Amino acid sequence: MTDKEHDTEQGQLGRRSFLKAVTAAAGLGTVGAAAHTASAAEGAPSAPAALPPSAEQESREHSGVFSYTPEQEKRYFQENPGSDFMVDVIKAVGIDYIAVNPGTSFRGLQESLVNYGGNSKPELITVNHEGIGATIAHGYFKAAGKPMAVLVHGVVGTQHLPMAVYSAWCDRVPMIVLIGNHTEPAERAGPTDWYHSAQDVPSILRDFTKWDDTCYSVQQFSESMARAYKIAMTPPMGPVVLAIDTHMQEEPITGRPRLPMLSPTIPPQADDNALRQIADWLVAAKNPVIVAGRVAHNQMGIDLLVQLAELLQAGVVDQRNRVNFPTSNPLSAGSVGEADVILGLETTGAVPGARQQGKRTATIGTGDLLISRNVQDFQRYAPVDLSVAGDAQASLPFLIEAVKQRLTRSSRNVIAQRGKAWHERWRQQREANLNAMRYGWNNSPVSTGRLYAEIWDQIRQRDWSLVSADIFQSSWANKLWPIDRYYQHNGSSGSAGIGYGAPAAVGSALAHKKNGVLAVNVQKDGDLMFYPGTLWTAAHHRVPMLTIMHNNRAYHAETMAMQEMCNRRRRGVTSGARIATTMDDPAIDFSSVAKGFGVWSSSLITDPAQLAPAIREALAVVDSGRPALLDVHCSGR
Amino acid sequence: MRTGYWLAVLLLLGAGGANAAEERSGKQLFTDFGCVLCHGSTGYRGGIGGRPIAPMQHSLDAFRILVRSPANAMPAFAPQVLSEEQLEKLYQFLRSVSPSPEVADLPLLKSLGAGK
Repeated sequence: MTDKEHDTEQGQLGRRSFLKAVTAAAGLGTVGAAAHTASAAEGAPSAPAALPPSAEQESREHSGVFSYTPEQEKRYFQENPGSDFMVDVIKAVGIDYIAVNPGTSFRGLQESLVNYGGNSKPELITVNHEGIGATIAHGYFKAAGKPMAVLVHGVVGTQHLPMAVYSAWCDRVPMIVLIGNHTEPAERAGPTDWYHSAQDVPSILRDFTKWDDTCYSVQQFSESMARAYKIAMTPPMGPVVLAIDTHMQEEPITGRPRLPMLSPTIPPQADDNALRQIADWLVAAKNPVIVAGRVAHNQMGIDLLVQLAELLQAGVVDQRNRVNFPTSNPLSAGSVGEADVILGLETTGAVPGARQQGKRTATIGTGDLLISRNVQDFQRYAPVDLSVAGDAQASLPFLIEAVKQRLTRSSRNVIAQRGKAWHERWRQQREANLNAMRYGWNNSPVSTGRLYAEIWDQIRQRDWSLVSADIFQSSWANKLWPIDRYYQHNGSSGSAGIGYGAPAAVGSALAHKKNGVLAVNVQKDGDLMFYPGTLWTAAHHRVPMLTIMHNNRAYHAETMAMQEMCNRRRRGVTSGARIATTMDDPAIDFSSVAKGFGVWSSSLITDPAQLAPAIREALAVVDSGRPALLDVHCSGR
Repeated sequence: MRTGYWLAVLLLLGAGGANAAEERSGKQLFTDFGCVLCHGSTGYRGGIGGRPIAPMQHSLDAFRILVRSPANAMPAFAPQVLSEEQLEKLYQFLRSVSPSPEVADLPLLKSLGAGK
């Protein structure tokens, strides 16, 4: 007997038993809930949970036909659902991954992605919170250079998103948010669908997204998906939103609507004359300095900035929102202190040193092209001598040529001397940083300097990427590791918010997986507690990544801020700073947390001498294609 | 009545705090007063970056000025919250801390410095 036959027979028996029970109950004259309760109390057969078959079903049962009639088949079974075509569209624009926490408002699309699309390009990445999904997309873009999509469920899923999407907005990171929504009230199945629906669901994210649309037809979806991708990827990049009607996904379509042709937008270059003016100032300057915000979109951006800086022997201040400039290049020791001309590239807000006496400042960037009416991420107004709208990386080739044309033999001599000064400053900075790294070398809790030195020792022979920000660990990697390639460091969240670290690291590691780049995540403890479920996603999808906990058992920056408040008010100095800022009672056992999610881990490390062998052991796990976590009790910063 | 209640509580807390503080070592005070937050467990850091504060090289008078009326981002510790006796204990603790090993004695840092 096949499983199907067995099921059918069980079904028949069930129905017959049901009929017997109904007949018995009818004979007793029991009708309604009260009578049912009475019969149960008397030990009579209780009514089964299933509904009785209809007369039509019963008739078919007796005739030996167990399938639907053609009319019923037409009503129930689906051919050529709209969501299959939506998958074609998503594939056409080139989305490789979609982060998803399941929801019925997009069950049609989810089924098509899995069964019609083969769960490949895009592959669904299962997440336990929509914020994890959006932040994975954030990290993925910074490593892969292409956007992911995030698929969320109506009002209840979308309201988990804002912080993660806001960080992407601040960090100029594109992603495509797809929101399932029961747009048409007549199609809502019951109260839950009403709770989960909105008239204008993208409005939840509108303050910090570039564009949104609500799609009612698959043809509209086709065009809007292409437009969404194009808008998201045009500098200044940012997240976009499409609401996708549930009915549209589930209803069959006739024929095949047009697939979109993706027409990427060439980024805007700054005005030629403005760039010539900037070149005049840079070449005539005694000490020009470049401040780099989010300049580089890829390795070419770094190479162009190196070219410009070296032509001028100009110091570079890399704000490390991306890798814009190699830390091994001595010009990275730039400082605006003694600059007479400052060029800000994709800086946000006021340029450091700008408008101080004797300094001339110019900016090239796309910041003015994308401003929220509400959130204030645009920072303080930047008064400068020349503000030029344009994508900095796209503008660099013209600026470089303009600078070259203006260089003379005498200016080249002056420039060469300038370079020697930066080189000496860089050497002194490195020496000072190395010296600082030795302090507390053998301490327990482990110093962050020792932590970064030990990690470096284990990865330096590999192709690696630091997929976490190091700002809360005294920026040791940016001070001393040679971060020279675009993919070697992600920068920060953009919003200075919390909860970004773990999922962004997993997103970047996911992108690095296919290239065999070792992803290293130095993970802040307080940050991981926002989205600990991220570890499960890493384990489930076999994302190889080495996570090393910077476990200082506190929201440490806030502890220091509270200490200052207590001191200024001269009260609670020995206790107040630790209330609601620390996580040491009980101390969180991150090794157990990791193991619980299926991530390899060893026991807590408190002695710095344990670090090297533990990292080696963890790397062996990562090399096998799985995530590993080491919990290290560390100093504050 | 309410004022009297709080006064009594404060007196009790104050008395308890003072007694407890007297028994605390300089190292314990370093933790309790939050010095450890910026300076690391043994004063090996100079706040947010900078040189370590231990082993303490300054005189007690100089240390007192740095603690009571710092000119940088460090919070000031008024006599009402950190007694003179406690300040001196902290000073003695910071003077007793062993120096960190030199870069030359740490092959790992030497190789990192050499860019290897």
